[in-house]
Amino acid sequence: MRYRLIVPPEISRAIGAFGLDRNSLVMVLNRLYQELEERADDHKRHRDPAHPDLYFWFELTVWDHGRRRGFRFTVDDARAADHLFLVAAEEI
Amino acid sequence: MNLGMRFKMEDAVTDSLLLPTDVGAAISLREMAYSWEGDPLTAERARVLESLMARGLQLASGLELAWSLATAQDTVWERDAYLRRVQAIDFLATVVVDILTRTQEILASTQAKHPDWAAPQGAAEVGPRLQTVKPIAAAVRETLNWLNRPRPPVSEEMLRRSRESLDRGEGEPFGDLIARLNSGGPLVKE
Repeated sequence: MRYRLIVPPEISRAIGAFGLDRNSLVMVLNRLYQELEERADDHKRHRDPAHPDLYFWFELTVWDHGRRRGFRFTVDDARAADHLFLVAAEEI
Repeated sequence: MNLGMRFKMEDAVTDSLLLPTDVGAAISLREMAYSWEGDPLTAERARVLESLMARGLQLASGLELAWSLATAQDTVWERDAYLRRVQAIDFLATVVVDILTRTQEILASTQAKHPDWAAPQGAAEVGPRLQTVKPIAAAVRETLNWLNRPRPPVSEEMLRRSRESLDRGEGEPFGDLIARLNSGGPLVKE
């Protein structure tokens, strides 16, 4: 199933705060977009342990100037059937 | 070529070609190294030792390539796929270090028993290559441990602010954000 991914400005700002250079940022966002809009059903099994009925986690690993970095995106899949909502973006 | 196709092709190249082939070959080669008996002064044993050494060095190159692809700048990995990749590289690294260590032992013991023995071409490369792959093996294992680390809870404050923002109708389709960024615009809608 294909979903429409919605992001509040709060989360866009949180992603900007990762401090990735523009090229890395574009790569991360394109991957996030592709995986969540086209293949979210493959990732929904990773439920947020604190809110398993509301959210799932999606993680990306990026090599940024020789440094390994992990980003976790929390996605609300309970608010609407055919939309997903990005509700947290954190470096972990 | 769109980004999605590129991701899939990169994954396919290293998943389907590089790792399974190298991991399978490494297992066979390690068995060969540990079943080594005899003396390379016979032509047949010399050929076996030479082959063991050459394949060990080749696998070390495969390991270096696999790790360099897995850590390249600007590569973006979905966590589960990356975990599987690093697990495979970790296994390969363990076996390659073992093969080169065993090969080095065979070469050293033969040289000690037969001081006049001429070691096969490339024998001098085994020790330095072992010193190159050991730090890679350690980095791979450390990355594997990092991938398996416990995850902290999500920031409840961030969740609350996001929910409130969405309730106010401030959400933006992610496709619009990507289009804006790809056309040189800012990440956050102004």
